Amino acid sequence: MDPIKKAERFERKRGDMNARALAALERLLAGGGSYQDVTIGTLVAELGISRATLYAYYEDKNDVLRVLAEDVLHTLLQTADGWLGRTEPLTEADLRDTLSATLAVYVQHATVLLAIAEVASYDEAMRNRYEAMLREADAALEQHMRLGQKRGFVDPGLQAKPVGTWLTRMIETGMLRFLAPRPDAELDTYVTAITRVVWNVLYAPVGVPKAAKP
Amino acid sequence: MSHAVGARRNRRRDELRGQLLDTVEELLEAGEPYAAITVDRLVAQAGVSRSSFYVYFEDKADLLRGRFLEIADAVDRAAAAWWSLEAPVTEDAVRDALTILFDAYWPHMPLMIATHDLAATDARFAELVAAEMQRSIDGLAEHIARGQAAGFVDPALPALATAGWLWMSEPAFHQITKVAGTTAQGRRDAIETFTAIVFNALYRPVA
Repeated sequence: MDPIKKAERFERKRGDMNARALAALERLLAGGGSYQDVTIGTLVAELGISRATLYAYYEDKNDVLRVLAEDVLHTLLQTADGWLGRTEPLTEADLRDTLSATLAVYVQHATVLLAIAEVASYDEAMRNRYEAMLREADAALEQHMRLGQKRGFVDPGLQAKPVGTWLTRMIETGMLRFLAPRPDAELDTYVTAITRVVWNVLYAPVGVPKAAKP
Repeated sequence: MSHAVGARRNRRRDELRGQLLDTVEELLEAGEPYAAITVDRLVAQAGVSRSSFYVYFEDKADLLRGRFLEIADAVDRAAAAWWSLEAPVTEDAVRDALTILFDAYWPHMPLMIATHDLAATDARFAELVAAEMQRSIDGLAEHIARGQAAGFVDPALPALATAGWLWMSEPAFHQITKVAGTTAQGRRDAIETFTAIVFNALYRPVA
């Protein structure tokens, strides 16, 4: 077989395996199970594959989590991009849609995201990966704010870098540590609140038209 | 035992307890990781005997908890300057109130960060930290609701959820401080940033 085709096929299989591993890990962690209690043995049993097959894709248990982290963190950034990547004025309703979709990713992948955060508290590689994701979000919001200030839809009195970083970290911590573990909380009210907070901080003072009241 | 002897003994107890509480914070401030601090080191540093340590505390976690609660009480008292703001709330008034809050918090940053970090892996600390954060969130929510009734806070904000988000500034600020360090400039920048966010989010009149 053509070695390029073979490599492509393995990559496709890797993608399938990551999706299956993510689902299996989430099933194992559902119901409050701790990541520390998940072993390679329970993971391969849940996946219905042999240890040898698992080791063809991953080095060890933390490597599984690192690879899954790439996918989940990428999804998060992509979802948040509806706000952070915005180059034109947006309405309060636009902002709400993106924040709501971002929170939905946190809630959907709460167990794995919390496992990532737990491992990041003692594993430097995981910490660096997570911190890199946050920095990417910080930088995207800073850039969005600078552009908005130039174009007149973001409060010109704000320091883009520190305010952007503070807001990203505030939203991230709230979604990850406060809301994701309690999907029964009144999520809708929390989305309304954070939308209004961000709206007031960044956009409202310069008089961007508000979304029509329901 | 005479009354005077009893009082003296109580005073001595409070002193020893206070010495130990100060010591855990001094070690954390010197950059010691909490995991590296042992009861032996604590008693040696504080100049008290091992047995008297156990008169006051069950273990080093109990000592950290004691100090954390003292600081949390002081922060809660300092937050009253924010909770009691009245119309018209100017950006300067917000900055003054938040400066009082930062003054209570800032000197204890290493201990507060260590306690919040422990909460990630220790259920008892998770409960302790969550309870203290909830107390602050409730205080802020009450202030928001009062401000809405009096017309100086945006009425479109759901009070409790908004307070929850804004108080996420505490762990957010820990993250930022871990990277930036606790410099005097960092303290001024943090007050400015938090002032801008709180003022715009809650009080700034919008045309």
